[in-house]
Amino acid sequence: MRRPAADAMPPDTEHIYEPRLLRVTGLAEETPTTTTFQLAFEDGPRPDFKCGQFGEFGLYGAGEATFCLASPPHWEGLEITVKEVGKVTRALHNLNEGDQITFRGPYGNWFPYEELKGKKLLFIGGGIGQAPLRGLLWTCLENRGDFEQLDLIYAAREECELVYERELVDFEGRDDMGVTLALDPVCPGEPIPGWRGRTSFVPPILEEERPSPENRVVITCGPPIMIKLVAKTLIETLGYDPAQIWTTLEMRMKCGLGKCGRCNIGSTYVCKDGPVFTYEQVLAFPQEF
Amino acid sequence: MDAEYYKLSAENAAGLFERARADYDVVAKTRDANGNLVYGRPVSFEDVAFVDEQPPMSAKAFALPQNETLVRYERGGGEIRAETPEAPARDLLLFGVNVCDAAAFDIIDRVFQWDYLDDPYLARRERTTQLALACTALQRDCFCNRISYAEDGVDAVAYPREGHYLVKIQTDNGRRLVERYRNLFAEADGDPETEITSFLEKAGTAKREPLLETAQSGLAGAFEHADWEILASTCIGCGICTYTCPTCHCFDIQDEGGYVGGRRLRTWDHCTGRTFTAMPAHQPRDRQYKRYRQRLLHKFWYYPERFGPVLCTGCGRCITHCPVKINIKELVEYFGGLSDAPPGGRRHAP
Ligand SMILES: Cc1cc2nc3c(=O)[nH]c(=O)nc-3n(C[C@H](O)[C@H](O)[C@H](O)COP(=O)(O)OP(=O)(O)OC[C@H]3O[C@@H](n4cnc5c(N)ncnc54)[C@H](O)[C@@H]3O)c2cc1C
Ligand code: SF4
Ligand code: SF4
Ligand code: FES
Repeated sequence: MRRPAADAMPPDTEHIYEPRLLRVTGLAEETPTTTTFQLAFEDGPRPDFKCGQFGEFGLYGAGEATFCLASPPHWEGLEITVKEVGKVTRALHNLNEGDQITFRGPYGNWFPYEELKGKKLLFIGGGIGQAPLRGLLWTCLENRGDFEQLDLIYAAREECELVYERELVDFEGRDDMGVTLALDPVCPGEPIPGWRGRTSFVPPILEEERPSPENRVVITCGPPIMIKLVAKTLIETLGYDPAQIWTTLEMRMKCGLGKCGRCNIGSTYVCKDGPVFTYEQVLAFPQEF
Repeated sequence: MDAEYYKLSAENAAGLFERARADYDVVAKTRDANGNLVYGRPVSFEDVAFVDEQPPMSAKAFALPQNETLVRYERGGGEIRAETPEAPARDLLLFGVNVCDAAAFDIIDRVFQWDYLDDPYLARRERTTQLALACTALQRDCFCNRISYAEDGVDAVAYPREGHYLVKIQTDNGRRLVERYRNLFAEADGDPETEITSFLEKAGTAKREPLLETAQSGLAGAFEHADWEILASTCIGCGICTYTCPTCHCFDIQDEGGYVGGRRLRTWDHCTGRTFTAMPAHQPRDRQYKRYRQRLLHKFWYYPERFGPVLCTGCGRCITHCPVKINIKELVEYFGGLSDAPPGGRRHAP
């Protein structure tokens, strides 16, 4: 597979670091530490974006932080899902409906939708890593006929860390996709009381279900350790070509524009050449990820 | 453009400085109140320091300020008002700056104008003209003689001769400077290129092999070299090398002020610092030697692979000012396969 071209989409502002202002139109608490923000563009039309891209969101006085665009382009407005981990994310969590936040973007490359058509898709998300997959997942469901098969494995450490719970319930009720939910085992092998899904890490699930590599593409995002182990299992145990695995990488970013020098792995700017890469590309990087 | 050569008498150099002050914001080497050499804005020609020595801080801040306002914001009545600052009002002339400092701009221009154009940087950069002064002797820590690129992008270089300067014009920008003050410049006589070559030979700044660019392929194979840990772990991550460096350009974006009002800033940052890539759940450069390795490889492998020139002019500041005597030139030679001897740092008499 080729990697998608990273196109420049200049923002319509005075200079490249000047943000637009978005209005918070809704808030949904996903977990005790994670909230989804619904955002509206009031100063002009929403820019076109593609699934997999990200933006720099911020609050004047607190600063900017990087979040993926977590809603599909065909939905109105824009959604981001933010986990509280530090200064900016804490400030965002103090916002109310009607408040304004800053936005620069969309930045980065995207999932190659056209190349995925006709394939069996297996989404594997881990924790907050479901956010960058969500837009693509909903786009694929909207155009379900474009794909031979559609499956989701979604894992989190604890039940209260599953994001988009209401959508997961909806997915589980659909007959045009397969859904496997899993929580990290506290005591291996023992079920968690009241939990409807599986109690397992993702690699053992793959070893058991053995999704064949034939005409399949795996799209995964989660903690780096999960991505590494999932890829290892797919490649070494199930015979996948690394080019059949797509992932989106998280490096610390500031500009999102290929200038500030923070996000590089070797000579690759993750913010410009990525964040979407095949695992074949990931393996070719200097081992610094 | 083809290079052009002129003679500028010592007397006319003073005249150029005075006249340029009316047309440009003129920056030159001078002494501050404490007698320290700095790049500043001397008000008279007598205050300009014509010495080989470099000020500890390079001239990069004139295009990439250490702190730069991107947006000013204000909150009131439930709404936010934000405005971007005005572009600089005056042209800038870098008068008699070191060649290695002048050369840095053309090198870092490439990252600021690939793909997205960095408007704030380019607004300053487009108004900058360099009239650099060639050094009469290679200094203790410099190695511009080992980097081929260091002079090509400089608008104009003045070579000090007996009673006059031989001025080499290398860009259209440099030519505009000469045209503006044409009566101060005379046509150069003789064979200026030969004259420059012998000047560089005498100064010790003529290029000599092997150039450090040739280390790139060796460095590409040395990412996992076991000696990084031994040789680069002494780095304390202070960032002095990056702040004094004319080509280090990595930055942070931070807000300064409070909820009611303040500004969003671009500020210099350093890759050798612990928090540069630290993320909530992941730290790709979790050891100090990995952070120093990033600095060196960015300069001598990643940047040339992506943009052409190495991200270094050989000014030697990072060697001079490093508190633990890390020597980038020796490390590039070693990891790039140009030398078998592991660097021992700069030795001092006991
Ligand atoms: C492409 C991309 C997409 C992303 N998408 C999402 C998303 O959809 N949702 C989401 O929630 N997150 C996402 N992230 C992660 C998100 O950008 C970060 O969580 C966010 O920037 C944190 O900002 P903060 O100001 O709250 O944290 P900060 O206050 O900057 O701190 C974050 C963490 O950095 C470390 N740190 C900071 N300062 C120091 C210090 N001085 N010393 C040591 N460690 C320190 C700590 O571990 C701290 O918890 C994404 C990141 C990328 C690159
Ligand atoms: S190399 Fe030297 S100057 Fe640079 S950060 Fe390390 S200790 Fe500081
Ligand atoms: S890396 Fe060191 S020698 Fe090279 S330009 Fe920067 S400060 Fe000067
Ligand atoms: S985030 Fe600034 S260069 Fe990638």
